[in-house]
Amino acid sequence: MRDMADRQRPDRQRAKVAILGSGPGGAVTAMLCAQAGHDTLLLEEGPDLPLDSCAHYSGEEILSKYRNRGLSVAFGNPSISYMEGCCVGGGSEVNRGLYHRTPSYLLEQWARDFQVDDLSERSMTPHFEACEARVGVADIAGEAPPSSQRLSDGAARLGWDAIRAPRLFDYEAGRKQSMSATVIPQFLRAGGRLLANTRAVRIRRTGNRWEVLTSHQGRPLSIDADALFIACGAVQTPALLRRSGFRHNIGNSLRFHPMLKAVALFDKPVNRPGDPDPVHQIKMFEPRFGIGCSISSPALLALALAGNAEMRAHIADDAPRMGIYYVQNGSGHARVRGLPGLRDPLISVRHDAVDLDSLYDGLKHLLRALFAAGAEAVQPCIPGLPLLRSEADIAALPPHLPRKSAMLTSVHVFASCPMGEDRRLSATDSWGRVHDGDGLRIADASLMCGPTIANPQGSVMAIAHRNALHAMERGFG
Amino acid sequence: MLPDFDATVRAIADTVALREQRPVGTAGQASAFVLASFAGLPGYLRPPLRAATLIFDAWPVIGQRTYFHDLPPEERRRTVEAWERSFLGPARMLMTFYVSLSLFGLWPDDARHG
Repeated sequence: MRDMADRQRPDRQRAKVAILGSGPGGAVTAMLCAQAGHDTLLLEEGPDLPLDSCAHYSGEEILSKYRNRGLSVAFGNPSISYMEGCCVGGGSEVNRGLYHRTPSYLLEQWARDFQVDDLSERSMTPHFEACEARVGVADIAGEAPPSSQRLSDGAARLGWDAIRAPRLFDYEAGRKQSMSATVIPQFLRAGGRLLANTRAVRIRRTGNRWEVLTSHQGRPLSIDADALFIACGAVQTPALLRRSGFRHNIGNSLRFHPMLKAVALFDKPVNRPGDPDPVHQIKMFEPRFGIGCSISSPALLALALAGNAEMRAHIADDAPRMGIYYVQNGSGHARVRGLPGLRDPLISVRHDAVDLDSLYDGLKHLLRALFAAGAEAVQPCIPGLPLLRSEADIAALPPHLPRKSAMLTSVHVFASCPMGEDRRLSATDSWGRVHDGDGLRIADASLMCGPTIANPQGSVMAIAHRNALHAMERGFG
Repeated sequence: MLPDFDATVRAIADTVALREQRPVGTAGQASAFVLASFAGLPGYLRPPLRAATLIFDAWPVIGQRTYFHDLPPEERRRTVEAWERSFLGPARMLMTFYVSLSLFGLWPDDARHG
């Protein structure tokens, strides 16, 4: 009776399992719990918007689906502008859906360095397979778009290997397989409840339950749950935990995949209306750096070339002949800290010179590949660097990355609360249970132990899948 | 007359639009995007950026006795470019912030991607 009364009061809700955050980790966890018959409540800070509510990569999407409307910064030398989704489905709604399993060498490295139990390729394979079956991972059918193919051609001429990355995408239907299109409908069909526009302010243990103090559409709302998973993303998860008094290795090791970009001008159009998104990547230099193609809409060309007017002047006439390409690695170690009275945490990042040198070396490799692909001109997207007309011009670039003008961006954040049995390094045990957290669990990219140099969504989903099954097997204890 | 935040953002977007080559969007679309983006900034960034914007608006008062947003287009352009080349990092960063967002807003893109 008391439970029923609690459910009906507008300022209090009750659930057996509560999950904070509906991105890939939270959504997979919620779906498994609901399908196992548990009364499950999934909370999301952002709005519940259909996948097609606005054009992908548009200004409207940035304003409606991105945290801080796309303006999040980690302060350092250089700083990193990073982007996170803030809507039902989280980052899966706004990313390109490129998909990779965690490489086996990384699983081995994480298991060894952080003493993570049962994290071998063999033990993770069933979890990858289960997530892939539920979400839908596909290779591009037919030819890749010209902007993508050019990178592959350039790599081939240099004797490098390029791969076509699979995507979380239904190529027949022409539809991205985001969480809101796949896992969350499965969660709702299993009887799960979803509450959007609900921001977790603080959590606390009261008796045998967890209480989550939230702000739901501006009104206070309290959630009581027997089991609690935090999946607010690699920045907001540690911010919430620190606000709630959990500090041990929480928010001390946030990592990124910082990118440097270059824009190439080709002799023929490489962007055609209706082309699928580019998929080629050069992965043979990982983990030092990885290379890939970006979306090259006029808006994104203008943004990438904000500090390079000469190349930007081509957009009006030559945008179809222009392509944006990137190099990324795992440079930057950041800390997440709350500020008294303020909602957003402060992120500070420091870089190792050797990592920045690797990233800059990667940029020069990218420039070589683009000229090998037949580019007439290539502009490194760093203010003050010249427009390059031939491969020979690369030699005239500064020997080191100009830190003051470098514009690093990242669309991946992770590893702020790494898992493992080594308590000196980890924030949780091998299964996402916060150390000394009385069964409190993390279920998002925070748990990763380091960079993957590729889209981490596959890793996040599989680790969440593994940990959710482990939690249910043990009655969430 | 006092420094005016919204008018300054609109004036910067006008300036960026004028020096771009045939953008698809208008200065009005660009400034609307910049203002909407600004509202989403982390809470610790909004007040200092607003203050820096008002200082930028008031800067020409020293030499020209008028605010940036009241300057004629050519003077506005000279002011923006002087701040873009400033030896002061925060001045350059302020211009990078506004110019980048304005440029994005000048090329509205509703094309379908997939």
